[in-house]
Amino acid sequence: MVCFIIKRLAFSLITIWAVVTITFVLLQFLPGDPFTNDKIVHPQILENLKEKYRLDAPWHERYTTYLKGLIKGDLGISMVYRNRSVTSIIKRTFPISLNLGIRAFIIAVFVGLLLGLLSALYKNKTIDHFTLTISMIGVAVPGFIIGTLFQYFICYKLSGIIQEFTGTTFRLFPITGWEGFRHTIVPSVSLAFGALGMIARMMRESMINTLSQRYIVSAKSKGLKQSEIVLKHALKNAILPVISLLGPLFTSIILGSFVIENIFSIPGMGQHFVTSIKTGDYTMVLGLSIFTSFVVVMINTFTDILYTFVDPRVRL
Amino acid sequence: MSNLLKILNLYLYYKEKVILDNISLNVFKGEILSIVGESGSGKSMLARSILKLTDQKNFKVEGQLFFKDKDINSLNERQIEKLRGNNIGMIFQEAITYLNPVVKMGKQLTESLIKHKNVNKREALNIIKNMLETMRIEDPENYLNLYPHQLSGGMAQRGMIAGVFSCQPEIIIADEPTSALDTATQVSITNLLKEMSTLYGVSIIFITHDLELAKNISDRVAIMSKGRIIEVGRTADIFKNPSTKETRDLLNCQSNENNTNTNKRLIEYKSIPMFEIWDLKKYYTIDKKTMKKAVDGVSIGIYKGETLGVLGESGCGKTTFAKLLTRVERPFDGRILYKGVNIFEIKHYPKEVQIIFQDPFSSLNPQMKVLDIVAEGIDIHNKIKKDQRFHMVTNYLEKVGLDGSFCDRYPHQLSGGQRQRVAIARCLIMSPEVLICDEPTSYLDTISQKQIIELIKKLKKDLNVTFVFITHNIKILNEISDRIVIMHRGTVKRVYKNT
Amino acid sequence: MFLTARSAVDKIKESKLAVTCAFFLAAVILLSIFVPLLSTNNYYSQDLNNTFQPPLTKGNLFGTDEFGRDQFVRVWQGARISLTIGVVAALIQMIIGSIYGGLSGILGGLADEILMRIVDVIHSIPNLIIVILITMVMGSSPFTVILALSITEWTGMSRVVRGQTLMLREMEFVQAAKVLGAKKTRIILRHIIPNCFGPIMVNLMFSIPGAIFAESFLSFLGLGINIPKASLGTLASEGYRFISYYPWLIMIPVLIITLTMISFNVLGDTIKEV
Repeated sequence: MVCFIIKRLAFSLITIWAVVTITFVLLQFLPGDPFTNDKIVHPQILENLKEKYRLDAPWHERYTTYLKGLIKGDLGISMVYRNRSVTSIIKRTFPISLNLGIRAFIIAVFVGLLLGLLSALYKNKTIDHFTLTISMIGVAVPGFIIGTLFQYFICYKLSGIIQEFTGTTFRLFPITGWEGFRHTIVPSVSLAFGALGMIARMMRESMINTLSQRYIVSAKSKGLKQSEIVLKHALKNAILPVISLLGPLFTSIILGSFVIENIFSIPGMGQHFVTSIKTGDYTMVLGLSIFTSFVVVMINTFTDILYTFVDPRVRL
Repeated sequence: MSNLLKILNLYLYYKEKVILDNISLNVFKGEILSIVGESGSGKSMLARSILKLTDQKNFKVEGQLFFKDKDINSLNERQIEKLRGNNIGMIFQEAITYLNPVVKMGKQLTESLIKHKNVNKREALNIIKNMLETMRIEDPENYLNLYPHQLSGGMAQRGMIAGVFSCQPEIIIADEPTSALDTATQVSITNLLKEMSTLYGVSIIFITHDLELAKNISDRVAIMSKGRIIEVGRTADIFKNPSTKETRDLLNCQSNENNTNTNKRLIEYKSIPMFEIWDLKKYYTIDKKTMKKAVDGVSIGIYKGETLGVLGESGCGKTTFAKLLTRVERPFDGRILYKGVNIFEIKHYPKEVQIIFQDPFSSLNPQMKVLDIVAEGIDIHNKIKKDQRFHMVTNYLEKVGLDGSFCDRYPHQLSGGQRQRVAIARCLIMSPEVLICDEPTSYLDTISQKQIIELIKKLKKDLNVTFVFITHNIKILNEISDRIVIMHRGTVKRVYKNT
Repeated sequence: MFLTARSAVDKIKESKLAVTCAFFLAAVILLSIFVPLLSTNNYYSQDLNNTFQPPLTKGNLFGTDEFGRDQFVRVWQGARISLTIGVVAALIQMIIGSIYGGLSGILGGLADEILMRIVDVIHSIPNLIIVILITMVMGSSPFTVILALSITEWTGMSRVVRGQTLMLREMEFVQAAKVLGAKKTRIILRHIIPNCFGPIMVNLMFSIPGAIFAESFLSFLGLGINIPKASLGTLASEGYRFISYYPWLIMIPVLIITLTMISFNVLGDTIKEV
């Protein structure tokens, strides 16, 4: 057990190291001189940058300084805004993104599992067709399309109709912003959609498979009711493959938040990331990328380890 | 004796197919009734129909099943749930797969008690613990905290038996409860069932393919074949005077397994040995601790011109034996000499030894045409002209009862029997001296099965080929083989001449 | 159990949905080839007197955009770019993945172990982040987008091919060939490679929409294709600005992209069942 956790952690360290090295290499290939592009860079920032990245030193020295900085938690500084470090941006924006991500994750897991379960139990019935449609849309339609459509039809049209109907200026689902609970609903649902589709589909398959297992027959032979069989015997087994999928799903939610935050003007890390791409703030993008990758790798590691606790068969 | 369960004219259909054909049977209080039959005879389906455990969408039941004057078939699901586990319990083959892998034993075994007997969790655990103690399981406390995968097959089966007996049902259906276990455990589980039956006065319906086992355990025996009960009676009577041919066949086949002292000894035979097999062993590691001994010390000779039948139940190691003979697998220990040369020490495997596999759907490359499949052997060994190659392939296809029009077809366009013929043609083109047939008919329907056997008989007559014919079907071997080897758990139980 | 071109077509014919999807995809492909070629309009000419025309107006089937450019040609030009990126990236992933996975499966042993560990590492890096960085650094063009997608997303294919190779090695027809005396090269060429075709095709059916998906994601971040050229993703994210006033500007490309993705997925699911 301990051995597995150590191995898994070592593996994620290697992954993070690979990410860091790739970003370092890419840093060397930034267009032109990395820190003098066509944008006007404040001379003091330029000075800071040059000193920080020791541009005149040979590459291996630069590499070690870069690594050392990262280990201390120094992700670099913005090359557009004066005195704005990547870490400070993360501190300000990540909690918002995390908040949105967790909401979306909870929606995806609960609704996805429920739909998948119902779909398996009522195979070829209306609920099954509904679930299959939802999951097909979730898997096949890019997040930004789902975000825009939800915003247009729910925040704009539907809320508009409600406004007209009630004759007030009250907007049930605000179009943009991140101020109260009502603001969070549509963005979280849009963000959850893709993952929800995958979970529902996975759960459906896994539940159907579990219900055909032999231990279900033996549970039946003991006189248990169908509902007891599902809850006490099938559910736990059926959920296992879904759990192993949670890591990748969380990754897709994190990347999806880049898009959703932009559509709904949510001041999270994703929005900042996209703005930095658009303004050409390369060091900021690299820093945020490393941080995001770190989060993703850590979540995957965590869910892998979690899995070994949930499934008694892999307890090592 | 009072009649506990009375089955009257029971039919079971799967889609249009008849699975159980007019079954009528009585089970009396306190008796052990064995239902014996080959695999596929419908005995397991009968067991499941009693508790309505068959998938009700695909299976249709007709007839009556009285449990103490209540017709089970007329009960609704809620009423049947009260019966299951409470009045009629069930024990399955390979207990481990019938146990939920992520639920602890304690919870699984107490389920029926809590459900039916109005006891709380702690009381139920105590009852099970006592039960396990009477079954001589050490440290039942610990046992109940384990997950199924941490148990051996025998231990899991004991647990399941304890769980079923704990509710003190009137009838217990045991569906091949011992067939996945090794001999020693088999004996102890059987004895345990017998003991428990007397102790609690429970009737047991013991379902098995093993006549010997049935003879030892049961008061009465019912013989099943092709969905029908062909004979019922007191155990002693049936074994003394079997009234049907099927029963006699079954008895003949299995009583041969009794003499076991021929292991590790070559049988004397007149002609020259093609193969000499010395103390062959092949073990598979399942995990760090356990090893499966697929072939465990087989020594035998295979003689020129003979047809050697290898007989055994599934899992007895006969397929592994075929794979070793053809060098597809390498042994853990032992030697195989072909014409005096160890086949594991030469560079090229002798091309005059060929094999026909069990599953005609995986033994032909789905991306190749029949022409190329059959010609593969000549393509590898000697290049010949295109028209000559076509001619040769057609020639061999005709020998196996096909013709040249098959050349352009792909395997998925052929029936199972045709595929098996193609596989045979592929071997024949090599002019083999030894042909190993690994259950060549078991995936085929009855008619093509017969045709393939006829084909092999014909080849045996026309060509001077040595056959090794591996099967679980005694009838086929009686028909075609000169000598029969009975394999059991990786060892040779008996070798005898077929007369 | 084994997919051949013929059995795939048979399977598709069985399901109405799959047939519809196949026809839809064929239509999208044909339109994206021929509309830009044959139309009297082109994707870059501006007509500032004729902006924001709604669909079905004279001369502009899908209306016009903010610069008065003909949306019909722009949409099919965009579909052409999206499909090209999707197909080319998926093909390159397929080639890299098949060779790598096949090699790993055939070599086996220690080499397999090492090659697969490398795949594990690459697989656990969040791919899209790396794609974003590469396109950002190298400038966004169809070429860089394809390059970035190809070098990050091939791991899935390599795992599939390796798995298939390992399975085939144990198949009875391979054993039969060995007993016939076939050498290793013959077994690989005649028995293993042709039978990897099925899983590779299934995987391809999912990696094409995957690549289109990723490209539209990049377009939304402003890292997609440079103006005045546009992929469907670019068109959609441009149209987003005018969604409340001229919704057709976003709805049409969104509809096409969505149906295309669904069609690929449905076809993929269908042939997976063979």
